[in-house]
Amino acid sequence: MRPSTRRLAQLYCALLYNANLKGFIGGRIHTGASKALCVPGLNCYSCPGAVGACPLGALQNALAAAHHTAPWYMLGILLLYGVLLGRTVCGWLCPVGLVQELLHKLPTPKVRKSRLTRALSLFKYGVLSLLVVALPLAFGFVRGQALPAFCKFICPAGTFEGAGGLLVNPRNAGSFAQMGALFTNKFVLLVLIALAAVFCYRPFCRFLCPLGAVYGLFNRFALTGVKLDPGRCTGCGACVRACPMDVRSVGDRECISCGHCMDRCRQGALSLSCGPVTLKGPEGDAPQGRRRAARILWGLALLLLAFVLLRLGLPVSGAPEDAAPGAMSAAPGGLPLSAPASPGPDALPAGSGVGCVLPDFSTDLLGGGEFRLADARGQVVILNLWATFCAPCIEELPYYERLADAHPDVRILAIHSRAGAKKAEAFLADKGWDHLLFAADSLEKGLYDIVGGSEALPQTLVLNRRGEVIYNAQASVTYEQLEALYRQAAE
Amino acid sequence: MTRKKAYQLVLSLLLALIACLLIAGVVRLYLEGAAARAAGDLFYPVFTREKMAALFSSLLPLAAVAAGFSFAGAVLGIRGEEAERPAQCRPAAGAPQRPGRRLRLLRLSLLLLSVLLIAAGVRNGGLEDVLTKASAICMECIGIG
Repeated sequence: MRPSTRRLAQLYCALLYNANLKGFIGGRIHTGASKALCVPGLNCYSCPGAVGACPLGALQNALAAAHHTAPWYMLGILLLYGVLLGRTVCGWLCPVGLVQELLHKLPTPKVRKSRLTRALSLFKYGVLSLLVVALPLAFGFVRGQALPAFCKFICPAGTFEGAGGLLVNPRNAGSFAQMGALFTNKFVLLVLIALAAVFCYRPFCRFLCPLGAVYGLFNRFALTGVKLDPGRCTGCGACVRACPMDVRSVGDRECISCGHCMDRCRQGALSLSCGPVTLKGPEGDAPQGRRRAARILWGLALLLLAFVLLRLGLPVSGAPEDAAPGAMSAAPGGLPLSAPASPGPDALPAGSGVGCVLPDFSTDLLGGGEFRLADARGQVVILNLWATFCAPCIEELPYYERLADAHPDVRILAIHSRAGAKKAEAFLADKGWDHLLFAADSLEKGLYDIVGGSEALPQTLVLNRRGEVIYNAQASVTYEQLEALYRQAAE
Repeated sequence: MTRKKAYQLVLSLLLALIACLLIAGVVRLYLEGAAARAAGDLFYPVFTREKMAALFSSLLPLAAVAAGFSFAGAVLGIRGEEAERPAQCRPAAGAPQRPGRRLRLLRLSLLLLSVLLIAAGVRNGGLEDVLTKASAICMECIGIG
């Protein structure tokens, strides 16, 4: 059976959005400049393959940061996609929609759309208002923290693409140990959504997806969408009956331009148009010019895909990214983060993994002064890798402050990631964390390379009095865990 | 019950069973881990690669049966019910028509506005913020914690 143009477009987008194939091999995410651009569909940017940002994740973070930076960029992006494409994005350009449609192909009884499903389709506006807008805004303004609530509590793309994509790589085996209640909840939700998709057409898009809710608001005046020829329409309603979504009229907020209605309309009154250009017309109504234009468009699209794959997706030795910090790894007592280099004191290998001795380094501190690891030998040293945009990092910093307050013989250095390092000093100005030492990493300093940091935050290293790494994990820690680690290191 | 209905029922039950076993397996691992942590082992690994691999591989035979069953259905030409008649419908009269001048103006102004907003966002650092955030792994977003 020949796949439809829409299915090919969906597959194309899934591949284009996740063209960083070397990320799957290396268990790393792409950190290049293309990540500043949002793709139109829902695609987790923590997926190793992702080459662009997810508009929903980026919107939540932009709203959370609205107290200091107005979210003009994300509002502009969503407005642009909304006016140009509307929910055509959902039907043609979204990988999550593709997966649900494939699951729905399994031959099982199907849930019919009804008044109930129509009413449930409004639920996604509640999700949008509460989890995407209200909570991130409130947390940003009240606590100065980012809370991407939809991503954290619901998003199946994050669990499937992000967690799944990273965890299947053996290099990230240590990250399993950090998973707990949050993973359990999200995994259960993912399985339920996948199961629901078998019986019900696109349940996530219809009832939960806030991105679809946003694009739906633009459907009536979007440039691209299903358009009606009133001269041909007899008002028979066959289009609405054939529609698998909860539309009440063709092109309303639920219409994803899938084209089911066009195939069913005997009058040939419906067409998929982009402005004055008809992309798909009534059956048998495809002029030669349109076919040629479609072939040219597909040719250009394939060229773009080839360019992205060659530029970003395939492993190239010596590329700048390869020199960046390692993959997320290491559990308590688990895998070393990096291969030991040369033997250190007491015949222990040098490195950042558990059981290694961390090589000496020094760095200037935010607010003045210098930290030299060599000077701290004989003391318990804790290195915390954090960033102002990382909510779990901010939540656990007070625990470190409390620990340093309780134990004067511990030295705690919190190193801000290279990304967004300029904002660290301003962020810390009114926090009053006087017992902690703060530094910011940069390409020149390469602190994250020394301590085995990566794109996954927060990360904590605990060094005993001999300088040996006894704990190195990318995970949030509780105060009780910090106390236990301190006691172990101080022995 | 027709052969098609029976087939669909069996496949549905198989899929539901796989989903239930997956959920039960993950919840069991979590509860075991939570109990161990509550008992004082603060660093007890709730999930490990080995545990998850064991869970998934235990379900592989069932998944293979479901896949084979689906394939057999495809060969036999059994498909899901596609006709989804809505409880209520409205004729297509309200659907968007070819745009008038006002609609074109609205689109144009919104497009201009979006370009202006993006430009303002690039200027105020919004673009850089998106890059910064998208270049880090959001551990809580993907459910790792």
